[in-house]
Amino acid sequence: MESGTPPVLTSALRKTMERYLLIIDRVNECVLNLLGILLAIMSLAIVFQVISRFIFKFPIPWSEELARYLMVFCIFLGAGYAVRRGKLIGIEYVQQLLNTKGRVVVILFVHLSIVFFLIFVISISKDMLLTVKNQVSPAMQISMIIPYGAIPAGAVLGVLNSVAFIFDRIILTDGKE
Amino acid sequence: MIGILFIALAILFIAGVPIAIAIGLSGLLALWLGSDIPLTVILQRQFTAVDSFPLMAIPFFILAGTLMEAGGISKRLVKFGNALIGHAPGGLAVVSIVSSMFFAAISGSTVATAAAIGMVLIPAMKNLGYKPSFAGAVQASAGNLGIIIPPSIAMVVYGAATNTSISAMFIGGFAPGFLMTGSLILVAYLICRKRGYSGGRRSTLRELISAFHESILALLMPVIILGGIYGGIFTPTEAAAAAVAYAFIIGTFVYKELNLRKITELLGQSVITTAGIMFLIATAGLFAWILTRINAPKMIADFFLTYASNKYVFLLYINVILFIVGMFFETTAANVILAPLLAPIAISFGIDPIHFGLIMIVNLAVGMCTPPLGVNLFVACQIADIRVDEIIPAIIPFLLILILDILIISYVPAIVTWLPGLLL
Repeated sequence: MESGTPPVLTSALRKTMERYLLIIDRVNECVLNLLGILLAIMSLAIVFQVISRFIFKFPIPWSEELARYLMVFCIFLGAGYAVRRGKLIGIEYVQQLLNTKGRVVVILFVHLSIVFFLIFVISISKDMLLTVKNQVSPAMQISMIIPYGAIPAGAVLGVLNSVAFIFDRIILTDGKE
Repeated sequence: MIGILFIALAILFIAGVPIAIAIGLSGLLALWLGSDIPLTVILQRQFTAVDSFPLMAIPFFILAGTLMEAGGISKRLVKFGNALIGHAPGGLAVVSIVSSMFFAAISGSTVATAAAIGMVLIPAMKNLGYKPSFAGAVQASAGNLGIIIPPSIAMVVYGAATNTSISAMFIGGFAPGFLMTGSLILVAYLICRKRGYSGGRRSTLRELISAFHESILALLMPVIILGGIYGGIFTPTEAAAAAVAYAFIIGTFVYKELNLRKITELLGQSVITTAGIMFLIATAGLFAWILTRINAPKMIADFFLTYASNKYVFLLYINVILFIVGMFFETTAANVILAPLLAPIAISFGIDPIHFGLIMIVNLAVGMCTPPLGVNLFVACQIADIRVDEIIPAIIPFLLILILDILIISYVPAIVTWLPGLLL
């Protein structure tokens, strides 16, 4: 298969990559289950908001804010998860016109772009979090670090998944599906 | 700055970088290399673009549709459509369009509609000897109804981006939706009659009643959503949450197809779909903000005020531009970026914002079944097991009638504005 490299090193490297994929996919599964629960809580919060206002004539002050912040987590962490499955919509029209080698190069470029964007986002997050550190949310009175934290958290997951995608699709399978 | 923005976007786009990242990264590069605006704005704009209560209708409508679908609703709707009209010439093609119309009333997306109904009906049409490319083309074009008949994710996005009433958009979508349903049926019927595609056996009244009985609970969902909104009980987002509760109750206790394990899986699926759409809204929000910073709204307004002498000419330009954008660009991103730029200009030409919203959405929807990049075409081809180039001749008659519909909807505003005016 890969005749150019010493077989021992390759297989050791391969093992490391496979272990990395195993761990990252365990993490992904946990994240997805967690986000599913958040979506369920979001739905409940808004259903109770309606019931409470309409039937008990008592509006819940925090339900909308809670649901909004949970949604923010679902979006940014969910996007980080989607990187692993290639579920972010892109136009792969040109990629399909290329041969295997060209496609590998373009897919690498795609994932390097993703990693670059996300690492940039992580690097500016510190300033952002310091700015919002002392702000509290209007209804629940929690630090705004919590909802804003969804963005760097999702970006970290996205970077890990982009690396996993490269290991999985390009190196371990030689670019074949 | 503007140069970096568009060159980076074009390169990333062509390479196949996910659209959300391509839009975000080109915005980031433009700010980083071409301005001295503090970069934390990148996070701020992304956050504020999605930290929105109206937009929360999107995950709820996605979840409600997913729960309903898992309860086997597309099969029931198809059965009802079949009992209603399956015996006419070209019956299954017409059933596919009518079922898509029903499904559109519980789903807010074109792809979901094309996939859910197509999965049942494309193989059925092939079995009856319909040409696979025709079967695929019928379903790809009928999928459009998904975002035109309410609820509609595109209408939520447009409403939130332009501060237009989402409720009014929903009700404004009905008549254009029926117009498109009717015209697609007409084309499908004429083609089927010419080719001699037969219909099935006429259903007995008893079968019709039983099929109606089985699907009535699904068909009630839009009644609850819209009734709740217009009765002043719900905001559109709350109505969407109520739809989730309704779908959950029906799926668990009536159809008995949902259990905890299945629900966990469906929640996960819905989160991924939501993230795919709304991460795009987040980065498109950043992009739209940069366009405002470089004064794009004024440049575009000046362009139209110079070259469009009246609103009829303006509408023609707009339709051509939106149609082309729809062919190549993703609906949600186009909506977030273009709606706030174009809607104020349309209003200054005396066009009703709800009418303009429908024009935008119909154009972008038709772009979903236009070659070479229409997502609905890909979905339909995958189900029909044909290549994309095989479906192109078959989709053309449907595209022509849809373009005619776009022009009718554009130049007869009453089709859109009559019903909201009556009800609101």
